[in-house]
Amino acid sequence: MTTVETPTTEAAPETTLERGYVGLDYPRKEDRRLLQGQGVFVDDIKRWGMGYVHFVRSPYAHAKILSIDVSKALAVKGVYGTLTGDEVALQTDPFFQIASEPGAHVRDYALAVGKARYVGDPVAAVVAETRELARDAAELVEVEYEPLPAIVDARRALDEDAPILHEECGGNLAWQGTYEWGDLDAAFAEADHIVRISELHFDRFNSTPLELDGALVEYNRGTGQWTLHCNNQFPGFAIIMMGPALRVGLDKLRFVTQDIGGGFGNKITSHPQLVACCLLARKLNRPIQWTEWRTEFHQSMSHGNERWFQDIEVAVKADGTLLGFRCKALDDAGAYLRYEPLGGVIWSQVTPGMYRWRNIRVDFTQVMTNKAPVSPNRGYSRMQHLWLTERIIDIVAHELGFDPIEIRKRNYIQPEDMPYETPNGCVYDSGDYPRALDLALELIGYDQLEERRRDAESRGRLLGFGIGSTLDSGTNNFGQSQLINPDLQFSGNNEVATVKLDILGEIVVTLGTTPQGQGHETTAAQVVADILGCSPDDVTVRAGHDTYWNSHAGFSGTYASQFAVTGLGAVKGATEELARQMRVLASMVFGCSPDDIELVDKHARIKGNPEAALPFQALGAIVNAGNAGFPEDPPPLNARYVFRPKFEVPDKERKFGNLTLTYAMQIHACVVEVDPETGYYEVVDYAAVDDCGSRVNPKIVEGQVMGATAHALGAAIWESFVYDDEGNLLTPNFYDYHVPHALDMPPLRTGALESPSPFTPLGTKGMGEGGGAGIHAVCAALQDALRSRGGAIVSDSHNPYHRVWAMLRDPDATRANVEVVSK
Amino acid sequence: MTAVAASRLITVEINGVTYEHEVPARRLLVHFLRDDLALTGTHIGCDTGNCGACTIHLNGEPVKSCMLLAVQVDGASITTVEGLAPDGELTPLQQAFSEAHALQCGYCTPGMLMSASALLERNPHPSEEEVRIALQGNICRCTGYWNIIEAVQRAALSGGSA
Amino acid sequence: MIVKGTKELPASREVVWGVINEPSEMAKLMPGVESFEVTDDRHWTAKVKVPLGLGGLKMTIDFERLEERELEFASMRAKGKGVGALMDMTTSFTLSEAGDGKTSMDWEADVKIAGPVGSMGQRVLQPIVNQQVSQVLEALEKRVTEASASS
Repeated sequence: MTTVETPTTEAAPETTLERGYVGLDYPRKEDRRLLQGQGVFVDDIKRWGMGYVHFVRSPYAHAKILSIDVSKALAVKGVYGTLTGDEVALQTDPFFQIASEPGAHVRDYALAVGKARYVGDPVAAVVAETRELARDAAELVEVEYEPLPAIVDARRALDEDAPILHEECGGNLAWQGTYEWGDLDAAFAEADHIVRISELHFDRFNSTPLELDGALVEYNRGTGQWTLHCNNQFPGFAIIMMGPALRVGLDKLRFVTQDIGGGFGNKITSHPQLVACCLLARKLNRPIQWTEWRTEFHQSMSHGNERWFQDIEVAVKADGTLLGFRCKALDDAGAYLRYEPLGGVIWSQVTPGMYRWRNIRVDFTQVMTNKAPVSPNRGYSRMQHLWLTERIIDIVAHELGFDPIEIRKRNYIQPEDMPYETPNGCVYDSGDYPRALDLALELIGYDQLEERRRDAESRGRLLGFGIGSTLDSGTNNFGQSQLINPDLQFSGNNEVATVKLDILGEIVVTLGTTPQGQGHETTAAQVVADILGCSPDDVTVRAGHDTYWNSHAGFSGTYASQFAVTGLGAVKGATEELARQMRVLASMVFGCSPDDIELVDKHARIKGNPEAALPFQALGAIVNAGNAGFPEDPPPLNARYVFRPKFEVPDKERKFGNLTLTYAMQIHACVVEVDPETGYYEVVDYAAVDDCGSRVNPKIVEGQVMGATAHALGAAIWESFVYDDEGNLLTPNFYDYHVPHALDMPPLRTGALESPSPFTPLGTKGMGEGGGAGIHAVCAALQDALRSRGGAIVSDSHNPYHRVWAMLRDPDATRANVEVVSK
Repeated sequence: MTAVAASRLITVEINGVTYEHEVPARRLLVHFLRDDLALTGTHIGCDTGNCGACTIHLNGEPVKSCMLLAVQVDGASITTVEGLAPDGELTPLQQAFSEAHALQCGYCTPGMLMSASALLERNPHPSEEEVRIALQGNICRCTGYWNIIEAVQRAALSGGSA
Repeated sequence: MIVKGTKELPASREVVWGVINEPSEMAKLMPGVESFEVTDDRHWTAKVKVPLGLGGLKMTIDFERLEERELEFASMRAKGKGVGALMDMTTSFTLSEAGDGKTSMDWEADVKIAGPVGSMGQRVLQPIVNQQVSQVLEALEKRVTEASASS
């Protein structure tokens, strides 16, 4: 299924690694337990005497909480206890806010305090002996609400008369910032055409991981420490939020994860519910078991950023060169700021998209509305912006008569430009976009397109072809948070790995990451095996994350497309240090220089003298159990390494600096067939090309590309969080929110290029998120299909069949969105 | 609403072992399996019977265990994912899943295996379309299904029904 | 959601006003009423069963008369609570002469539903609301005809 091309002519990365196991489709270590149903997911964990918690949630999008009466619930036999917002407000401090003024005044707690601000906002919790009883008892909790008007349309959130969610903020503005680089006036003066697009809308959805959020929380009264078995995918962030809220030091929160059923960013902001569980565990003196319901997840967890782009103006030269653009961006953060407003800066990792324009201005406004709080979702904030750049180039091509392929090739950053500094100082490390586009065209059979179009026509169908090109920027420089709030102290990034050689020669690796299916145990073992001269089967990588392993740092977790750089960088560093220690120890035993020692076949031996060899077991035994007789201390054979990507704190005045270390790329090609009578359409063919630098395990990489494609197709065609005017979520479960299944997926061909990153220890780039190329490609294909029926302009990321039908019926309504002014 | 719901004594064979258990009448089969019997391989991914993560075999048929009450399986024979390879040796279908990289997080995998093995029992040589139809009730968010379909077809070719 | 319409009633304004202004008369018009209780001349409560789901959704609804102008205009508020549904509805009636001893009634209802039932959305709830409304109007028509005949 994959066509692989050999690496491009980029500088080889600084690595001492020879391709042994790295680069192979090594079978996954995780598979055996998962295939037998022996994975340990959070709801699988039991504790004697545990209480099941169920949250009472607001049915109103906006309401004052007048009173909560838990007495009837408490009276039921088997109910262990309750928690309300009043208790939370007494026992905890509001969560730290990332925002500067005015968002800084948001008061966010584990349960709603005083007011409920979205349908599903938890206002009380009930703990009982069984799951069923907890639910029943929750229905007996009497909450008196005074409903308030709700604000649901972000475009109205800053109106004079808009209902205000957080009075302390004085309005619904979360954050506002202006980004401008280059010379917009000169660009627009030089332009031969100015293309105006009045509004584009990126819709609200998320990745709905199949496993819901959950935790089993225990409290140790003697030490004041909580142990949280959970599936939070960014413990580094959760701990920073929870410690101060609970008024305890961070070491009082031990996070343990093992198997996680998908994260995609949606398991980052469960800290409010985790705090509620912590308070209950302490109050009731028993372990607390929490598993979210699907409906609760849809109503209240991690919606993706919904964003409008307004008053877009694009400066274009006669030959199709794009000089620049300016626009307003309006981002809807929902009811609370949990990871936001970081979305307000993270998009700027990919300011120009894949194009060479140098003059860009974005006026970014983020507002709060009575909807579920937004937080990272696969492609977080960059996907929205990259969709904008792809819509722009597609609409410009459509209006000015350029071929979508030629105009992209003309404007792409070229391979000889790499590493490329963007207008705001980000450095794209490597990549060959035109070659990737050619590969995508080859895979989709572009040459046969016109023939296919005629064939479709004969069957009464409109064929459309579209390209979606995108970037997946990875390994954040958290210094970009200071562009949101200059008082923040976060910067850089890190990840930790510990590798040791144990007494019986066992190689054990612990990581700070929280994998949710990315195969960390396998890829880490491949890297270790090549350095130590053994097989990945000889390497044990502990599953998941545990604070007690002391193998984590402030940014530990699995998010934002970075494991292949940060996680594996840490593994490489720790293993190289262990290898050095092993050579030193062997040299002590043999009485030679460490440079004379090589690690081969699970032995440390003198080069060129296979007789003089110590098996790993012997080395381990010496250090752990037989260390007498050495004049100097033998090395411990236990190495902990903190990987730190080299970043500077960005320039806050100019909003300039490198915000991410690596830039993986995907180019997708999509063929759709539209039924002009009904608007129903099918994706009939699809190709996805990916370049994430050196690939440690190509099959795992391809799996991520496929998963990202499926998510993007879902968002493009079927998935949307739809709210009515009262703030009721109309797609609160899998019955109404259609997640694509096996029959929905098109035929798929994948291809890969490898342009190693010159900036990373292994030449790898993070790539798990993908960048939403499927959304860009489907939009482009639909616009192409509708060209012959009035030339409707696709201006929404989400195009369900009824929207396509509307575009067929009234293309002029969509065309009114676009205006071209030519010299 | 009473504090203790009515309960029944049920007898059910699961993965070859006979269990006799008192269960509340309202308890879903999936909760009985996971909470009462600690057979946690069967998973829950939704609350509307759409996702299929809870799929088991009931008297040989693939069935969503969240759509049944435990009391309804009194006297029945059930197989869960733990029963596919009781001695720890992976079946050809499970092997094919691993080889084709048909699982990432593994959460949907037990349900997929139960649906796929039921398909191969009744149709040892399914077409790609038939595989897709058989799996349409099992949601996966990690793989996009392509590798899963390939795995099932590979298993069929190697003659393995489970 | 807002529903509104106009209904011509075969009775004089006095007769129509007599019905819609009297709590015990209004209570009898409600479809699926299982019982009602008049608290005072501005408040009454009814227990109703709305056709939704298996066996119907039982609700307790508290009514309050809001504003009126004799023979011309009446408005009231209804707040209802049932399993999974919280309803808040404001209705108004405007009467005018239609000639020939008939009355033209402009009616409007603003219905808000919260809770799990609310997430079913307009496409599910609108038909139910429409059905309830048409039953009320039918019952009103019948009642004013009776009242007219006996007056």
